[in-house]
Amino acid sequence: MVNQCLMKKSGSKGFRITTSISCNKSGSLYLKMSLDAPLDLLKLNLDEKVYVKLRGARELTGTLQAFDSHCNIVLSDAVESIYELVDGELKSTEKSSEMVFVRGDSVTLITAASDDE
Amino acid sequence: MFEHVNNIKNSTVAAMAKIDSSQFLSTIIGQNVNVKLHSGMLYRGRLESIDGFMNVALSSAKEHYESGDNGLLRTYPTDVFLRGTQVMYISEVK
Repeated sequence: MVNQCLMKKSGSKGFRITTSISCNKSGSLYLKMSLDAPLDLLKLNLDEKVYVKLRGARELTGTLQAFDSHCNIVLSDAVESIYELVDGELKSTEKSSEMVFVRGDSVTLITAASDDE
Repeated sequence: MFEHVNNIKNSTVAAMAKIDSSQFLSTIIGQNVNVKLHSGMLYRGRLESIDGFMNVALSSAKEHYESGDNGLLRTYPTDVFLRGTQVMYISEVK
């Protein structure tokens, strides 16, 4: 695969975006934008609905207000789903909170929330 | 005979110098990778970026439990961020 870096520039929120032209196996060219650091992905999701997977079969959806390099995050209008096995059956409970601070060490995954969540 | 042992030692050192782990991580950017977390979750997708803490960004990620042969749990249409401390290993999908 041919992958040539064209330019690096600062995005509107201060992160670097690498734009490159790639060539796939069938020979067609396409433009690809990628971020230089994984944490920049979170910057893109500020003020957006995010889905956060936590340790212990818990997940959170809410609007991302703030984060830092430890993955400490602040979510507003958050809904927490807790999954438990009760007598061999999966049970889920939900808790909502207006504003929540999540300590980074329990975070495993962060992505943009899809519409069905 | 001792020379032979020394040769083995030297070649091991040379091999270790050749394969630098952080160098490996930068060479697999853009490739399809498996990322296994301590929880047993396996994420397979295109490696968009990685940093020194092993924080990972994947695009078109698929979620499996333990092995890619086990059923697909879900697909993520947007880029996924995985926290470095939770990562057990990263491997290239051949």
